[in-house]
Amino acid sequence: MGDFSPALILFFGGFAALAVPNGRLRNVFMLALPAVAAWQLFTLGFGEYGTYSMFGETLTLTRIDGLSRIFAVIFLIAIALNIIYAWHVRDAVQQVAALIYPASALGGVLAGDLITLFIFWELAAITSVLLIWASRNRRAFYAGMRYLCWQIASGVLLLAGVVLYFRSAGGLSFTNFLDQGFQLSDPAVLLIFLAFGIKSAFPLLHNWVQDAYPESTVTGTIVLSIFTTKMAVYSLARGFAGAELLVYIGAAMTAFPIFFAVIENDLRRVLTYSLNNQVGFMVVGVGIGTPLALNGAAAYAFCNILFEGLLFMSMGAVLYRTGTIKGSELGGLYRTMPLTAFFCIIGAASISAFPLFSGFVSKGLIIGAAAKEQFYWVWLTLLFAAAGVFHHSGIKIPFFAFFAHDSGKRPKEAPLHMLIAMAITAILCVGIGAAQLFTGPLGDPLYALLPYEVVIKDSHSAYIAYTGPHIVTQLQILLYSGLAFAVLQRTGLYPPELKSTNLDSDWFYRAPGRAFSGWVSGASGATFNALWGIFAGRIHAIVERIYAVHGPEGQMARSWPIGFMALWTAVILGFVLVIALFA
Amino acid sequence: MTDHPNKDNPQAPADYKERPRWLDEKKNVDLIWYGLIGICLLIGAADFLIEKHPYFDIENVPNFYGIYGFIGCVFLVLAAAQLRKILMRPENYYEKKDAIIEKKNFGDTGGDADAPNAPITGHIHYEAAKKGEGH
Repeated sequence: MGDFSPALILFFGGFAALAVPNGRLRNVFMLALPAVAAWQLFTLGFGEYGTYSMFGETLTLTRIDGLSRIFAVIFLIAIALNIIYAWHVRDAVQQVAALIYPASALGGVLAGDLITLFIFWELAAITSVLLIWASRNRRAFYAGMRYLCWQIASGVLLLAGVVLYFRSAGGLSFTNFLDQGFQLSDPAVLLIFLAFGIKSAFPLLHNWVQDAYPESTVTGTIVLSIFTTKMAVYSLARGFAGAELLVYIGAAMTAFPIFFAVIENDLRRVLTYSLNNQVGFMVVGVGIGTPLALNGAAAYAFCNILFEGLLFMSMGAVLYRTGTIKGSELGGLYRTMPLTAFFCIIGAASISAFPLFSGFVSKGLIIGAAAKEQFYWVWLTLLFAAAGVFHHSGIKIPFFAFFAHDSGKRPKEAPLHMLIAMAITAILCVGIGAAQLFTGPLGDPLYALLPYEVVIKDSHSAYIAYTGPHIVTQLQILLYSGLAFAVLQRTGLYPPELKSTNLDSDWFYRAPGRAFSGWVSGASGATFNALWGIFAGRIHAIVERIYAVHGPEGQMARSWPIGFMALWTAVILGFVLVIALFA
Repeated sequence: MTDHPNKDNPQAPADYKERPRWLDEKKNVDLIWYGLIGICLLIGAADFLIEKHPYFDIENVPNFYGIYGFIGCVFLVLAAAQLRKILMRPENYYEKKDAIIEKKNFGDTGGDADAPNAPITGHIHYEAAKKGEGH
């Protein structure tokens, strides 16, 4: 297939799927696409492919190196798992969107220059909103609109930044901006930074995630949870590795969403808060910027896509079978959905970074790097956030869905295809987590994919996951967090799941902001009407005067055709003038 | 809310029989509780068996990770419970606002059933919108 981009295989393949009869045949065709794209990715190997020319600049469609490869690989795995999970879906919009949106994100990850990145950045925004609107209800429509505003804003900022960057750098290459001598405060770089910041959901730019993702369909939410934020993490790692500001932004991201997660009732929304927190770990890793930290960020993105996806899948299965995902309406489902509960617990153990699970071998790299570089407060924040993750994703999600008080619901077990998708994901979570026990850290298959070479200098390197101190301290923090949950449950101090909406930063534009914009549009409408009234009155008077003088019965109309022509000449001249004024 | 929830689930699976579960008995839940305390004590004591390579002095405090995790989580939950007092609103909080604005802008479009006529206080423009004023 020559230099053809793996992302475009998926993108065009997504549309081609429409030509295949809907049903199993189309599913098989869709499943073949990520396989073909993966084959192409590995056939190509490291290098730059598919150069094209635009604005006199040579642009690169596909750049495969250590950093883009690990993201591309996990994206392709995730696409395949999502197709299996969504085997029952016959909605063409969702089927196509579940291919072209990940394809766009993959295109962004593989983009070798800023223009290509921008194109895929915007495509990812536009294609992903289809998954939100696929719910086809009022809530989802509004949420999708707000989502689109944020995403387009990110795209506009990116474009503006790229234009300014081109002016000062004279090129469009997408490499580390700081290494090129730029400061974060340079307008060009700052705009790009903000564009990346919106998509990776920096604090106060984050709420589109919680607002929109849980409004998508059973299967759509899982797809959404994976790609946009990870493409942004990749972009930050590519462009801003080592920007110290990211360390603090990331630390804030890990800590503040978990408070919201504890009181949120919609369990898929709980997971979106957890998503913010998880991306925060990656952002910290990018900010620290050492090879260890960047490896940690990439490894954590890889593992997170699997275990967060697994948690979303299990909650999707619950929603599919019970029709609700509210913690207050669920509980006791383990009786009839034991396999889903089991897979959910595997996802929970992985995200909490229990030894033997994938979070353990990846999160440790980031926390270890923070400690090694002596970010004391950041390190403490990450430990707190790690305990908090266990609390809200590790315990709250499985506990309130499958255990807690018996809701009386006795749904069927999840459908077979969902179970298969969850089983494969669970096996990957455990496999990645436990591989080191058999291969040693240097032979670890996950570490082999990392962007930087794994260098182990001493026996307590963060890469060596299974050491006595590492295992014991990790179990201490997790088990005592579990103890805290148990104590709070038994003493009744734990806040119950309540039917509620919790205000977040979106309140500012959904309540006062919206009222204000309503007022502005009302006021400007009224002002316009008033001005138009005055203006139209004047015009009317003028026209009457012109007509009286120049009209067919006026002085100028002694010979009728001349007056008529004069009038029309005046009208056309005026028209031309108006056009010239605006053109 | 989402695509055909509950399509093939009228209620329980046909072959499902309700039977007592191990977790239904309170003494078994207690067993888990005491087991957890026991494991926590053990893993806390294990602190003395390992040779640490601390980056920070605080890591030398015996069972630092356990203590920090416990305190952190208790703080997290209690603080979040307080946060609820500020942030918690009825479940259809935003739908009400949406419905009112929709009615104002587009007339009655058959918005959410539970939303359109519910009173909302505190926002004068919404009050105006409700009465069909504006424009």
